Amino acid sequence: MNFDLRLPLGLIFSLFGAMLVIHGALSDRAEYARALGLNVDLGWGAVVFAFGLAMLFLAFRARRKP
Amino acid sequence: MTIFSSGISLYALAKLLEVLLGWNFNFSIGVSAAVVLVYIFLGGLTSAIYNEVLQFFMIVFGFAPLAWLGLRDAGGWAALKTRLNAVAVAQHFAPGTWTQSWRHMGSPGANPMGVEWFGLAMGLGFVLSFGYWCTDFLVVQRAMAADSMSAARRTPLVAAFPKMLFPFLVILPGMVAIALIQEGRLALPANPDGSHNFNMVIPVMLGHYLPPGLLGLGFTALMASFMSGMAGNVTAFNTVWTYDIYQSYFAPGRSDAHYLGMGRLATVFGVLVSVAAAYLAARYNNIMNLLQLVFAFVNAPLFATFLLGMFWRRANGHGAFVGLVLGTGAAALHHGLTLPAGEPAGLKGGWLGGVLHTYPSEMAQNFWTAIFAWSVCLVGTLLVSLATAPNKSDPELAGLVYSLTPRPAPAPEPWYKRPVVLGVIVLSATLMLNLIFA
Repeated sequence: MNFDLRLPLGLIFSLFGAMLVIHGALSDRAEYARALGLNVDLGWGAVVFAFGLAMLFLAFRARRKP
Repeated sequence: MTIFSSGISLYALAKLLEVLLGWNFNFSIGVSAAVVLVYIFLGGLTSAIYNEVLQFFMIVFGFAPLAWLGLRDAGGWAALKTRLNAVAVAQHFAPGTWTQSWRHMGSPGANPMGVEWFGLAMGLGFVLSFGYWCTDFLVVQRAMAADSMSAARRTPLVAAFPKMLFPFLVILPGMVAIALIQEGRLALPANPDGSHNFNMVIPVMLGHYLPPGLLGLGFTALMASFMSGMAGNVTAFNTVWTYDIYQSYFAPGRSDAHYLGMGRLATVFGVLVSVAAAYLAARYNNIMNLLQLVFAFVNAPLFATFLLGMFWRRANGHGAFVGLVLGTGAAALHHGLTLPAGEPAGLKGGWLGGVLHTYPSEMAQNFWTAIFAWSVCLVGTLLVSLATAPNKSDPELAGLVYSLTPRPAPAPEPWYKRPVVLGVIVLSATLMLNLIFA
């Protein structure tokens, strides 16, 4: 395959994850009342960010050794 | 048929924009259709497939926190069961009817879906499911795009794994919603006639649980799923029309540029008809019912044709054509003569004047429409094929009929890539899930 789908996947999810983490870290606690008081933006954002980085890592590794 | 599915996705997308952004419904339809049209035009099938992968992950990441928060709020699975038992009892069913799948299938009256085990296993399990996975061009086209025979055979098997997990993402939030509505903690938007609009369960649940950041991700996921549904179906439609119908029957031997232009025209036409289908979907308060109805009319008889065409060399063109017409006719006849309980005659059945049978639910009616359509098409194709002369010799059928097609020797592959191994794993996992949630 001449096009590695992991690259756009990695880019978009590391970006989304980073946005969620930053929003989660800066936002008011009161926003999370409906999410049972849990800062899910921060927690889940970290998961999404990690997935994005993993995809980027795989894409770049595949690129280095053809 | 693919156009119907596409129209239903379009309706859902426009409805979401209407509710979320306060846009006018007609305007939302126009904008949604235009966006999808542009991206199919620019990218074609490859971009539609790549986008589907992206949208798949988007849906998983957008919905997973909703399922998790919902379950946590309900107090875990055991507590959710207790609450749903209370709902079931309040609706005069046995306590476990909302949480157990097979135990209350003895008669249609014993469960909220209004279906008995035969209608479910034969209608949904056999006719509609096989019809969808084997004849729906959206699904089949994905396997055709594979780069080898083995990869093509693996396509539906690999797809089956996430498919098994999807109930946890979409059905679990629905179950939590049932409990919340019963306890008066969640309200669904009402239709003009006062009934609940069940199409809005997931958006309302997203708004109920997710904080601003994740809410954005959740709604992006919803839009992604509707757009991928629509784009996939429109690309399937333009391929079938251009390659299999136009190129084969109307204008063979033209230049590639000519067919590309035709494909583009078909795309525009497909999007326009989707818009019409979206307005039809707006008249249903549960689009899943509409989707299954369309499948019962189109995929169910088609599946009987595929089955005989692939495995019975004596099946011929006359049989297939008459069978399909009869099967679709039987679906129409059945739909026109029966009615789901509590519905007026018209859009949802009974439009042939008399009502011979009343089903407890629309789903039950759909399953039986599918069973009738499939059976009539099967018998019709069999009888007409036997009564007319075969129109193709055996060598002509090689590559079309299973018993006459040479099977390539399987390439040596690691065990996790072998279709048989994957198939066995999928079947055992499905069986286990059915036993756990029996």
